[in-house]
Amino acid sequence: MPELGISLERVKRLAGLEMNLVLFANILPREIFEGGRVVSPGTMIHDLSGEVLFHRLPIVKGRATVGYVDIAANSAFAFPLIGASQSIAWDEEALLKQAVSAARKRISRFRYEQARFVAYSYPKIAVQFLTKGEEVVMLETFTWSPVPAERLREREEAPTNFERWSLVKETPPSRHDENAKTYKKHVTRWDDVCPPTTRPRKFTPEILKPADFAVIVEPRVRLDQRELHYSGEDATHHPCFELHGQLTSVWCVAASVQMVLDFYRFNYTQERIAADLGLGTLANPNGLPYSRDGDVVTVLQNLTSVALTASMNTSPTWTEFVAEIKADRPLISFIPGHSRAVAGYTSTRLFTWYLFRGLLVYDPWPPTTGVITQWENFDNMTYRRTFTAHVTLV
Amino acid sequence: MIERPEQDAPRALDKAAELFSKGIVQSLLVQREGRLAGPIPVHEPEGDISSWFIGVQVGDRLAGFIHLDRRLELLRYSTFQRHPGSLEGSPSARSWIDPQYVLERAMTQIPRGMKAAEPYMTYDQDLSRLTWAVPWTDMTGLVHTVFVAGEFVYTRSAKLGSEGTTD
Repeated sequence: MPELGISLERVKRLAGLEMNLVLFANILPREIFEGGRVVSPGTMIHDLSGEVLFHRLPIVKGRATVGYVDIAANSAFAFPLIGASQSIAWDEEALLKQAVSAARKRISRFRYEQARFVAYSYPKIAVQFLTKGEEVVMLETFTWSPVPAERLREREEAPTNFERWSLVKETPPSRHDENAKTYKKHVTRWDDVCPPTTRPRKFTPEILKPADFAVIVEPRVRLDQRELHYSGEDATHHPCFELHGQLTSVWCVAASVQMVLDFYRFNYTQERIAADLGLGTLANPNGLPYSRDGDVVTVLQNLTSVALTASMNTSPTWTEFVAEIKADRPLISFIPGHSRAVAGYTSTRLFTWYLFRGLLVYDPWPPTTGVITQWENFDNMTYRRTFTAHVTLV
Repeated sequence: MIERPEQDAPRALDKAAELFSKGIVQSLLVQREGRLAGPIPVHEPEGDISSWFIGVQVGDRLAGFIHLDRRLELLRYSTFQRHPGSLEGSPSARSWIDPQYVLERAMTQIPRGMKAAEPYMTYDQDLSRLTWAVPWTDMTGLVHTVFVAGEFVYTRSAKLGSEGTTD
């Protein structure tokens, strides 16, 4: 059964807990939601199959609605929090009035017994009017265009842009089973952190106060983040790492070495570094063969007259990235076929079951411009080599 | 579940909009003035859709892009901004999101009189190395490809031997 049978009280509570968590982790802007409340279980949004898919709960601050949060109630989803929107009011009553008015304009002697909100093509929502369980009309919210009746599609045929389809039916049964297990586990974890029967001091889940939320999560949260600065005193010293794009389609290594050398004020041109790495010329460039990875160490040392001592690691680890950044030293990171520089990291651990580890990557691709990625998911990448360099001390 | 990646463009845009509204972009300038361009499918070299590129424009500049995988999960947000308050050095938006402009750039390396096919976005070696590909056919019927990454136009020369290279 795809419906998860979550009580309305629990929906409200989950909405509060999930929202407090994302505010606490600075994933959503605090200035908009902080002090807000989840005051009702909100609007039930149904699937075309008739099952409840999710709840849309308004976030109220004073008398104003500042946004809403969608909480899953169906195994079409694996986690309770589907998403949250800011600065968009969700007023169920007003929308229903508009829907009725639009229906009356379209249908003479319009009558209905029941109206419900339906994700007719998730996440697009419509109001469905029913009489004796049969649809009278379904109007897309805000445009109030009638949603066409379901048409028969070929087995492999995709729905068009404005067409009804059921998320519950399109989700394979095995995925429903898997999602239901994940969802229940997640809810159990919340119950462990904030038991529904005992109210922890100062904290009410439905009130969005990250500072109070901190009371129940600390000391079970660890935030650790840093990027290279002019010194270890981040508060008074600026970040200091600059990007270089690769000048040819195959000079990512030269550009990465250039970024690290620039950091230590050895300002060589990329052509010069490429020449030392044996990467040819601008007119006739080549990449660095895997068998010559070690040349990076040689060039880092040679071009600094061994003022830098470099080394290559053939099995990069998270610990190494963190240690180097904490010591204010950039790294060169090789992934299969490509090279980039790394100048920061972030790590967020909440409880025992949520961990995000990301790297601040200065990527010389695309050629000539390069790009900065903040944050590359460390646990999703394959790291082939790292190159570190430290100032040689006498 | 029916595979319908090419139909995912509206959902890719919805997902990108959600990420944008949640503050994935940390530059206040881009948060305030940025807008999302239409999603562009990124094709595997074999042709399947591997991921989605959604440009974040400020005026006629491309401040960065949201990269989603084929399940529309976030792969990364990458920025061309060297510093959060400036767009200095960011490429023109059209160089990444306008196939017609990409074609014009590619034609600078395609012999006169040869016909090029439609550009498509793909990647070079690794998914983090996004580029447009423009196939063209020579007089003998041999198909070649010109790559366009922003304003940078290049062709790949054949590698000697089978050893991998870091490019």
